[in-house]
Parts: sequence; structure tokens; C-alpha cells
Amino acid sequence: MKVATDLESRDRRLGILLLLPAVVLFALLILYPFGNSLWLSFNRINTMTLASSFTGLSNYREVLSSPEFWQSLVTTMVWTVGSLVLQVGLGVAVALMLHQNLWFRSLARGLILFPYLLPMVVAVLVWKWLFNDLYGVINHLLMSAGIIAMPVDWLGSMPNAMIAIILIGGWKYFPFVVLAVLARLQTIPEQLYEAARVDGASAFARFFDITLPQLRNVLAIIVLLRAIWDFKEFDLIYMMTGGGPVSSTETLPLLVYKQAFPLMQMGKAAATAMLMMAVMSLFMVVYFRARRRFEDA
Amino acid sequence: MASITVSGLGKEYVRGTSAVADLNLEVAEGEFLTLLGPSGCGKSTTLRMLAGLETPTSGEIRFNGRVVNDLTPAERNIAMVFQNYALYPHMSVRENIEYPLKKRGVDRAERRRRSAAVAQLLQIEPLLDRKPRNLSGGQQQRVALGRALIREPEVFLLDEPLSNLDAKLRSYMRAELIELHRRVRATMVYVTHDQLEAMTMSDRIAIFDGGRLQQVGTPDEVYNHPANRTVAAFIGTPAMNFLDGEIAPEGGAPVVRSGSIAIPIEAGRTGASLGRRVAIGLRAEAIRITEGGVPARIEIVEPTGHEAIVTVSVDGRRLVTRTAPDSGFRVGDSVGLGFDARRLHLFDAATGDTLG
Amino acid sequence: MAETKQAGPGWSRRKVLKGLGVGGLAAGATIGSSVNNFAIGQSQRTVRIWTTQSAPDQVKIYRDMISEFEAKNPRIKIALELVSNDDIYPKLAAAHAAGQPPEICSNTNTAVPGALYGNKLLEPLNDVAKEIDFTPESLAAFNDGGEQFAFGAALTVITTMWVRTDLLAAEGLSVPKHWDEYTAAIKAMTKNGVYGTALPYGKGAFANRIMDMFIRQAGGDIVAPDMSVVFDNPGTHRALEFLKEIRPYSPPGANNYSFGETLNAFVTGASAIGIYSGRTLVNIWAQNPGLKDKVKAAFYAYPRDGQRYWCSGYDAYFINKGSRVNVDEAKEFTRFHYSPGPYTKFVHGAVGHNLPVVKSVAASPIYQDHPILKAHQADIDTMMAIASEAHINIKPTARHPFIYKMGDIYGSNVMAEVLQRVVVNGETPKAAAAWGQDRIAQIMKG
Repeated sequence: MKVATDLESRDRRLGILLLLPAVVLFALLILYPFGNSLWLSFNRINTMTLASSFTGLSNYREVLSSPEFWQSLVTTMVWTVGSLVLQVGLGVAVALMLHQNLWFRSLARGLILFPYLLPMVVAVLVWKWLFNDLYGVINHLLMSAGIIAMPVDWLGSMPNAMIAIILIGGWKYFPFVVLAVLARLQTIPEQLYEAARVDGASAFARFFDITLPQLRNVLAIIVLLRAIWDFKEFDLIYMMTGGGPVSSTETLPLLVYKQAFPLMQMGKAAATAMLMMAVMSLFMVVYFRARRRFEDA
Repeated sequence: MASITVSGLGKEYVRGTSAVADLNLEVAEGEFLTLLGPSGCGKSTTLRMLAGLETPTSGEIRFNGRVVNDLTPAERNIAMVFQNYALYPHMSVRENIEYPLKKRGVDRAERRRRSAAVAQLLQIEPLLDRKPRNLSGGQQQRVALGRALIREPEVFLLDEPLSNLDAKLRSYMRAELIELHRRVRATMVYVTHDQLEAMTMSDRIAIFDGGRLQQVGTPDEVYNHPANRTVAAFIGTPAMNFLDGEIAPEGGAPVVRSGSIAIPIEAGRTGASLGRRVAIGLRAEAIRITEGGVPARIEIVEPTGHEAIVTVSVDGRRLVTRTAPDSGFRVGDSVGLGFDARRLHLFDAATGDTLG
Repeated sequence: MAETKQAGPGWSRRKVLKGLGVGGLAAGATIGSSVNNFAIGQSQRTVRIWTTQSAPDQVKIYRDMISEFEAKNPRIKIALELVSNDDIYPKLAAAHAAGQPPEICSNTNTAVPGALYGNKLLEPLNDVAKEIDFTPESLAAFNDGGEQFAFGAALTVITTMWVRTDLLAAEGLSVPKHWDEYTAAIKAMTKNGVYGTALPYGKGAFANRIMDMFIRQAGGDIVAPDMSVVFDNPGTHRALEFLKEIRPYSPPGANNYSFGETLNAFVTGASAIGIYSGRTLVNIWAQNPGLKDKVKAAFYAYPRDGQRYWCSGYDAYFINKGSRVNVDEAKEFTRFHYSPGPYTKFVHGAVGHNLPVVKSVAASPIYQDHPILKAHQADIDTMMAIASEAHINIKPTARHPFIYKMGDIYGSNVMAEVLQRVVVNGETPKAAAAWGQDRIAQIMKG
């Protein structure tokens, strides 16, 4: 018996030892920054000097009672939902197109990745130039087509600025959706479509009855990932509009940045970041619940 | 129920290479016709053209005399069962079966009534609320049949529907299909590469090779009166024995000779002109192991239970025959062979055509 | 500072930033790029310079200067980093928070050293000041009760009004002196694809500047000499009213304009009246020489019954305080930078934009021997005249003390946002000013 217990405890020690790197990494990469951020949010801290004083929940009270936070939350939702719908719609449409036996398919598949691989700074510069009021191609084309008489202010007025960043967000990230959906499309057996044709399903019905249900799982993952990423998107919006005009495109990450740096309110920024995380977690819970219910049905 | 007439049908996927060439075929109303052949012979392509899933490059397909070339699969009022069943994975069994009706705008109550009837016919009532992934292969097969049956189509097209089942289930489903055909009396076109399925189930068999129809006939016809060497070689287990030979006179009567083997030719066989080079075709049951006769040596003995397949060699050439299971032959035994002249098949050495 | 406790020993700046990373902050990138002194070896020390002057010619001149300096001082390595004027304040804040500020910052808005000095994050430069013959005005601008916390990098008259003499003449108008004339002129000149003016309505540093100027021209103030916040006042309302009224005569995209766009609009001929420093001349010579003889510098128009008030004066140059800052090496470079040879090259890099703050350089024939200076002597004189009357934003008038928080006020873009609230959102100037008042009060308090 004693031998067994020795072995057992040695096994247990080895087990703990093997687990240790994962635990340490988790603590280092997730727990520690999280705890730190949480602690920051309970303090009043000047970003530049780090002079701090403990203020308990007052940062949260201030953030939650400021209309700025709520407006920013709404803005974030509009941006996230808008660009997500565009990405997924465009992504699925293009994936379906590329799934056809086009002779230029492999070339097109390569090209489609272009926006996704383009560094954000470059993409923003290009789009800023396209949207430029005086020299931009978009205004020029619209004017020469007679759709508009005077140049449109794309980035400095609403809802144009929101539309513009949603368009660019959709353009920048739809290749991700294309790739994921295309990979899935290629695994749907051709026989299902043939069976449906024999069963009298129109092209439309085949899409809704076969393609879409088959894509459901991959779309669920895409929506989840992209929603998280879009919710936290910073560089695209910051560089395109800087949150303007006024604060119409100031999403939560931009608000956090503004509080932390120009306003030097590190504690408040931390509190906003924590709230942002809470909102995101809440949506994830709702999402998973809804999905499970849908799965069971 | 519909009759099918196929005339001059051809399909080229790549210009100059025919998957199916100049096919002429009649399927009678209510008939069970099997398209049989090795893979790549054109049988599946033919079925898919009947279904409307492939467009013919030449020729016509008529259902009940009406040309259907330009009709969609749905408009042809056919049902098809696929090799992998092609059940819709996200739909329940009931939804799968009812899908063709739903797409034709049949109302829910009617759909329920008919799916219940089909489920009863196929004995899958307890499975109706399950998803296909929770079904066994045989159950999926029945659901696929159910989805075909519920439509009461003009024509059933079945593309190797049993090939994914294990041997035992396959023979069971064969019987089920025969029974089903008997009950619904629908026109069925069945594609398989398994000659046993073809022989046991079909009213007639159409044998394909290299994109061309070789012969259409009842199982008895294609077995006993193959149109050519290809058909003869494909039909029957064990496969027919072939020997190169020549028609020669012997004692005034013509015989076909191949080495030490000489088989008399029955009177009235017009194709057997003297000196002609032929292929001799002998089924296992046309060769008997006897005392005396052509000397041979036992090479392999394969008992199957109710008989034994015995491979013998005659001056270096192997022949397969069958005997009773308890005949007691051992490998290496010297024996004699006798040949049944009435069961002798002769084919042109060059073209492979049967000589009358 | 006394009432709040300083960060404790376990409370490093790095930690704070790392913590915030959970929220997905992007600012960390700046910190990541900082050069680690220890990696270079003990004998060699690095001096990092952040500059907002990123025109290719200027960067080349800077690099030449650096090579020359490094050849003379093999012990010191200089790392030049380009930072935009709109970003430099938050980036510096992040760098200070991480404990890794660059040694030297050059050509920043005066508010930036103001804010840093207010937080005791700048090295005093009194010793260097004694060795260089700076103009007394440029020293006074950054001297707080004897402590020299920054230098003028150069005299940069950012609110110079540039006019197209040809377009004015075509309308039979003279250079507008007052708002009413100005409004009439830009109305008249807005046609044929040209806009009467191009003002920076974007949410950035330049909009803060013009707000500052227009508010004071209209008799308003932002933070009173007694340090009370007085932003919500009739002068502010009037300035907002005015900026809103003339918005149609700027290009449609002006709501996003900051320095670059505003300058480009004038240089490309899209606007008839521009607002910028002498860089206008440099860019016209390089990009649109056809306009060389059709532009003129002037005092920016102000209300007939208002104040003669113009912003700016100096771009700032300063050395950051920090435990890892190589102060002696930075000062060594500073001495070199302001010595006649290098400094002449430096101001020649953006001639007319960077006007010299070193007396001997300003007077030297080598400096004055430059085609642009010769061709536009009258414009240079105008800018010098504006500068002699202009004020820096951290000391808005002679009556005001240094207002270090002006850096935070500028950095938070409150004034730009107030402007946008009125122009873009259509809020009343009173409502927007009240909102701004509230925000500025919070900043002054925090």
C-alpha cells in the first residue's frame, strides 16, 4: 500500500508540475493584467505622473452616470452590428461566388485576401484619400455620374462618417469571412444539392435549405469572433475619424483611450475598460444561450 | 408510371472523349432495369442524364413519348436515391421525407399523412424525429427511399444505393427493394457495379462498358446468351474461363481446339467456320472433373460450403470449375476434364462478338 | 501634488499600462518602440528625439545634423522618431507613464511642455540657456519664475492669414482686416471650385488653436488670470457663431481638417484664404510654384470691435525628466543643435515656417541668403510683426500666469469638440460652451 501511495503522490506531483507552465502562463497573461486593471479602476490616477489615490467605486459611478459612456456604447453597437452585417453578407456572397467553377477562381481567391492583409495604416490612408472631399475618387465619381451636385463630406458629418467606417470595416474584414465560409462550402457534399434539385428546390431554396444550415456552425464562430474583434476595434476608427465628428464615432475603445491619455484619467479609463469587458461578456452569455436554445430546437 | 425511351444519347465532358456514346434504350412502364458495368463505364452518367442532373451533348430522352431533355429534374417528376443517401443533415427524418412535398407546396396536413404512410411502408416510424446522423446505414437507406417514394414519381432512379452497406444488410435490402418494387410497380432504373444485385433484382439488365451499351436483356439472356465477350466476362461468378482456340475438323465434324483441349461444335452453329481463330468461353459449370478426358492438375481448392471452386491447370493454362464440396480433391492431384459442348461460348478472337 | 500620494514602489508605470492593456488599448505600441539604453552597451548612450517636423527635406537635414553630431560625439547615439502634432501629447503621456520618455521633443505646441512642466516632468535648461544667444522673448515664453523649462524650437506663426491676392483683386477687394470684410471676401471668392477659406474644423490640435484665437479676438477668455474657468462667455459664443456662419465657405471635408489638410487646401489653390505658418511658402515653391507671386501673409482678421489677438509664436523644444533619461547627452545635443551652423540648416529646412530664435543666426547673412526668404521678405516681416504681438497658449496674455493645464485642455480637444458640436451637431453656441465649460472645469480640477 505504501508503494502505491508513494507512486500516487509522485504522480500527483508530476501532474502538478506538468500543469504548472499553463497555470503560470494563464496567471501571467490573463489574471495579472486583469487584476491590475481592476485595481486601477478603483483609483484616481494621473496617467502622466501616476499620482494616485484610492477612490473605491467612484470611477464606476462617474462613468455610468456620464451620458458619454452610454452614447459611446450605442455608437459601439451601431458600428459592431453594422460592420458585422456587412462583413458577413459580403463575405458569404463572395464565398458563394468563388465557390462556383470560375476559371479565375484561384487568382480571385488570392486577390480577395488583399484587404485583410493590407496593414491598417495603409488601408486608412487609401480610404481617406478615396473619401477626400476635394480630390477623392468617390466624390468625383458620384459627381460625374450626376448623383450629387457638390462634394459630400464623408468623414466630417453624420451619418456619413459612421457609414464610411462601416463600409471600410466591411471591406477590410470580409475576406476573413470569405475564407472561413469557402472552406466550409467545399465540404458540403454536391449530392445534397442534386438531391434538392430532384426534390424541386429552386436555387433560392437550395441556398436557404442546404447552404445556410450547413454554414450555420461556421457562421456562428465567425459572428462570435468578429463581434468581439469589432467591438474592440481601435485603429481603424481612430485613424479614419478620430471618433468625430464631435463624438459620433467615438466607440468605447476610443473613449478609453481618450480618458487614459489626453484626459490623463487612468483610473476612469480602467473603469470604462472593465465595463466594456462586462458588456462584452454579457453579450457573449446571451449569444451562447440563444445559440443553445436554437441548437436544441 | 412512365416508360422511358432513350435514343442516340451521348455525353462528352471533354471534347472528343465520350462518357456515353450513341445510347439507345427502352424502359417499359413499371420495369426494373439495371444499368450494370465497371466504374467509368457510363452507367452513372446515363442515370444522371435521365435525372436531368447532366445535360446530354446529343440524343433525346423521352418519358412517355415526351422529350424531357430541357426539363429540370423537378419537372421530370423523378425521384432519385443517391449512393451516400444525400439526406439533409440538419433536418429530421420526417423533414427529409416531406421535403419534396414541401417544395411542391403540399400543405402540412397532407404532408404528415403521406410521410406517415411512407414511414409505415418502410417501417421507420420510430425514427421520424431523429436526425440522419443518429441513424445506421440501413436506416438512412430507408429514409432516402422514403424521400423518393413519398413523391409517387414517374420514375425512380437509384444510384448504387446499396454499395455503402455491409454484405449482410445489402442482401437484406436487396430483398426489400424487390418487394418494394413489386408493391409500388414503379419504373425503376438502378445503377450498380455489382452483378449479383443486377441478376437478382432486375427485370432486365443493360450492360455498359467504355461508354457503350453492350447488351440489354433479362438476367437469363445476359448470362446464357451474352452478346459478346465483355458481357460474358462481366456476368457470372466465378468469371467465365477464356481460351484462345481455332475451329478445326476432327473426324469430319468441326471442333474447337485449344492445345490439348478439343470440344465438338454442335451442328447449326453458323459462325464456326473452319480455320477461324476464336475465343472459347467456358463457364465453371461447363467444365467437369472426370476420370479420363483432358489431363489436368488441381491447383487451388476453395470450398464455399455448398460447393467448392476448383482451379485446375491444363498445359500451363488455368481454368476454374466447381464441384460438390465433398469431392475430396487435393492440390496436386492429377485429374481429367470433360467439357459440356452445349454450354460452349465462342467469340470472335478479334472483335469479341459472340459467334452463333 | 502634496495631497495625492506618489505611486508606491510596487506600482510601476509599466504595470499600470500593462493592466490597461486588458481593455484593448492601442497606445502601448509607443512604449514598445522605445529603445532600451542598456542594449546598446555601457559606453554608448542613446538620445531619442521626437519631432513633429516630418517633411522629407527637414528629416534629411535632421539626419545630416545627427550624423555630424555623432561623428563628433562617438559616445552618443541619436534616435530620431517622427510623431504627428495631433498625437504627440497622448504619446508623451503614455511614454511618461511607462517611464520611458524620449530625451528631447522638438517643435511641439507650447501647451505640451506647459503640461509636462506642470507635472514636474521637464528638465530645467537654465545652464544651456546661458550658453546660447536666444532672443529674450523666446526665453521669456518658457521661463517660469526663473526656471527655463523649454526653449523655442523656432518662431512659428501658425495663425498667419494667407491670402490669394489675385482672387481678391478679381473681386475688387483688399486684404480683409476685420471679420465683416473677411466674411464678405470669402463669400465673394467661393466659386468655380474654389472655397473662400479653409479652416480646420476637425477634432484636433489645429481646431483648438483657432478656437483659442477667435475666442480671444471676440473678447472672450478660457481660464481667467485668477485660474477660474470662464470658457462659457459672450466672446466664446460670438466666436462660435462666427465660425458657424462662415463654415459654408470652407471645403465640405473641413470638419476633418487639421494641419495638413488646411495647408494643402491653400497650397493647391482650393481655398482663397489660408491659415498656416510660413510653411505655406515652402510648399507653394515645391508643389505649386504658379502661386508664388499670388500669395501674401497678413494679420488674421479680427472683429472690428474686438481684440487684436493672435496665437502662438513658438514651437517648443524641451528635455524630458525621467530616471532613464540621458540628460547630459541630451544637453550636449541641444548645444550642438542651436549652434550657428546646424541651427541655420535646421531653420532652412522649413524656411519661413521655422523662424530663428537665435539672434546671431537670425542676423547672419548665411541664414538670410535663401531664395524664399529673399523673395518673400515682406511676408517674413509680417510674420515677425504678428509674432511680436502673439501669445503662447500657456500664457495667453500678459495678465495671465502660466496655465500648465492648457496642455490637458488642448490634449483633450474640448475646444475642438465644442466647435464641432455647434457646426456639425447644430447645438447652440451657448449650450456647447456650457458643456465645454464643464469639461474644462473637470480638467482644471483633476
